[in-house]
Amino acid sequence: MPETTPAPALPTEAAAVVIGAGAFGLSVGLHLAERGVLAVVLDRFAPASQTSPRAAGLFRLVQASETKTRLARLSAERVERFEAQTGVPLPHVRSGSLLVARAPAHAAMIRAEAAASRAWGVEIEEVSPADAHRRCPWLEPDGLLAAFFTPHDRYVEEPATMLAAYQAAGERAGMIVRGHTPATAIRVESGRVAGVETPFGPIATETVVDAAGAWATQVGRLAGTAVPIAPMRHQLTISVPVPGVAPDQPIVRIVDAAVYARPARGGLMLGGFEADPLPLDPADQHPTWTMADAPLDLAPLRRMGAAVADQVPAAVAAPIAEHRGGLFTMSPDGRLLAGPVPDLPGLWLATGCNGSGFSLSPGVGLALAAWIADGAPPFAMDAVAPGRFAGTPFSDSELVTAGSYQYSHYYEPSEIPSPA
Amino acid sequence: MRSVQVAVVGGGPAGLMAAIAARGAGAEVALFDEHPTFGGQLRYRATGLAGIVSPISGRAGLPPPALVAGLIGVAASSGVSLRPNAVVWGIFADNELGVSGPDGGDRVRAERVVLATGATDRPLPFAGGTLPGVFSGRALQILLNQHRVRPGRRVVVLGAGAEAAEVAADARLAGADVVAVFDPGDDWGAVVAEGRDGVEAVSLGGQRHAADVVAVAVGRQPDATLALVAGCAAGYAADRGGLVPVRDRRLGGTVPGILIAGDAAGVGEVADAFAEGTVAGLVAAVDLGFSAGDALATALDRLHGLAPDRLAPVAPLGQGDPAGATPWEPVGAESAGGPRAVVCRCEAVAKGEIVAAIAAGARTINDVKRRTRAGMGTCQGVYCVAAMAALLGHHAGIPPDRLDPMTARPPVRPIPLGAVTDSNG
Repeated sequence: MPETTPAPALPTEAAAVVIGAGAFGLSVGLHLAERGVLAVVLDRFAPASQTSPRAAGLFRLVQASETKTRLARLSAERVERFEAQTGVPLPHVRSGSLLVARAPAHAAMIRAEAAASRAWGVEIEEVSPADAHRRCPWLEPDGLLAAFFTPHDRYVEEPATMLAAYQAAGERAGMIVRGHTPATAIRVESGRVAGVETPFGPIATETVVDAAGAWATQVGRLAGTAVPIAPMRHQLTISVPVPGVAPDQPIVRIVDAAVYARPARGGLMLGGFEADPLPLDPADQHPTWTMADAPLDLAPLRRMGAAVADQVPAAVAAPIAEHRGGLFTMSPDGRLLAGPVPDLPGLWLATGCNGSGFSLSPGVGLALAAWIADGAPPFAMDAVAPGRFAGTPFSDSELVTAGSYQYSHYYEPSEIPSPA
Repeated sequence: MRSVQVAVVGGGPAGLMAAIAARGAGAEVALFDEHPTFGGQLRYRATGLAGIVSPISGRAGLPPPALVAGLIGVAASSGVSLRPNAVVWGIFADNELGVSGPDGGDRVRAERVVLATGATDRPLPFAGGTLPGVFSGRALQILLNQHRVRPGRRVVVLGAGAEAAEVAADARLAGADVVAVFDPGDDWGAVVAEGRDGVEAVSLGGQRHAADVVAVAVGRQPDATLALVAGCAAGYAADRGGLVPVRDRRLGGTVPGILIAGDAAGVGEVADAFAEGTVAGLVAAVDLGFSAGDALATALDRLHGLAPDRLAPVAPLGQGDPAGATPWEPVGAESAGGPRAVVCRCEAVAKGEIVAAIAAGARTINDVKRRTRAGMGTCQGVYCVAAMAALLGHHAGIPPDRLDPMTARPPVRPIPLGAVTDSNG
């Protein structure tokens, strides 16, 4: 019989408990710890084991709103300086990215996006199709009507490395991470959060952050809070190595087909946003269901591949080495849910990734930690705060309908501009 | 007593846009809705909203939940105070609102009030019309699309035009079999529903169909009761659904400080409601001294271009051309269900009693009400006044333009007594 060591005891009290040890949860925990707020980060499964490590790892500075642009820039800066600030390496590739359009309407759309992004401080330049091809040899120039290059975009080759870096840097600063420790109840006393129950004992705390990804609605329910998200499956493939592909070639986003591609492991990653995504709520599954059980289906990826076969033929034709997928948490208006829950002091949300959670997690963690520690957000976060839906419940079918729409319109400008 | 610069009553398309526009210009805004959530018709219509254009991004084809979420998100994150589950049950002097909410009663003094209270379905009294299984068209849509309940499988839709077609399409979308779409016109006698514990069969112009659901989609009527309570003048506009508040070109009612937007001022399209809400919100803010730049002029131009008929002046009741407002002639009214057919459901007043009251000299809605109790119940006349007006037209020859509305007085909705006694007045 193998020798086992008893699990280290769970603290009986904590300055904060973060539920969910994915990109959002670990980043919030790390940034809280850096401010001296020692959080316990719980996960019902192994830390960093569900959607986050299955992400594409793409960072994108061009965003549809000012708040999101700000979070994206904070995130890029944090990644850039991560090793210098924490001593923990965070490998990433500053590849830049190409945003391309092949239809007049989409060309007009990305021109408008580029103009807005420039106004919000993003460096971005229009390049000719030939220039785009020169920067990215596996992108064919024929048929491109507009192309924009964002030099400071980047990717993390293996998303798990960023999660490990969060955890290592956080633990150095005092954060505690406990896997296989589900939150079974959230204790509420006198109208505010008082603690979290787990199978290994209770933790008294006045601050709980729900960062449970596709499980965030279930965690919210523990506190009687409705979390308005619908989980949707997202998939991608990584090809076997392809001659001519180099790591520093840019990320390519083809907006009309809602497809992205990037260098990955010597081959090419290909993913996209199908028009009819699969809604999949773990709440409807057996409690032991994990992301490894998520059904994968190549058919949507093949259809999207066919739509871009003339543009990125190598990415479409090369044999597939890996096919993976996770669950995006789509909110009905396509914006993050990051901030305090208005009706229950002490409960915070860090969810509603809408497909950008991994890359926005440094900024979201930083901003939320500042908000929790200082009592005020570092900049206006109203546009993403959960309070915008206070008292206005959505039915499950409304959430799925709206979430599907937001998913399938990922590359089109958000319905809602950031309020001035 | 609390106070707010702009109070918007009703969180449908007009109310949401009014709140967003007024807040965007800088005013302090509270948005009240009697329901647990905002969106109004955007939450319960399905096929009729295909192709709807977002008033914010101008994008077409958004699914209504995404549109609603976006509007709520913009309203809330721009600082509109959202008050769901809050019934505005009266308007008193100086635009003081009586509010009954989850936390009890409240009085809110508003410098400007935008009434965006929407419309209700027009009733059609017919034989068997009180059997379980008979719904108004919108009530059926709420069941099907919002609550995901299909109350039966074989549906008869009463009515004509786009509205009946939409109810039929939504019923089909929900997997029901639409056995007939029938236009009874003004012929109350053309429809007979039968059954023991609910609708089992419906005769339409003599032809019998097996059916378990009847949806009455014979038109909608504006619900501007709060405007009447506030003392606003009303007029009759058949093309806008009947009794409508009299408004100026900037959507103001005849009582200072009160604006009316959307279906409450005359039934129309969602796009009209968005456009009117935007104008009303901007007017409210600009009147309070906020600057909206050229947004108000743009919104007014847009509205006047979109729906010029909605802004045509309406003569106050009794002052219009009576020839232009012919009475609703309910042919077959005598035969429909016989004298025992129920007109006022709340107080269980039969048609025969109303006809007898008219024969005995009742000449106004209030006369009929005093003699029969029709209209005194919980719904405060929503589901019977149109039928009473028709009977007055038919039996006494009074055109609707010459018929004073039932006295509108608070509370316009049933509220707990505590909402009045506990008000922070």
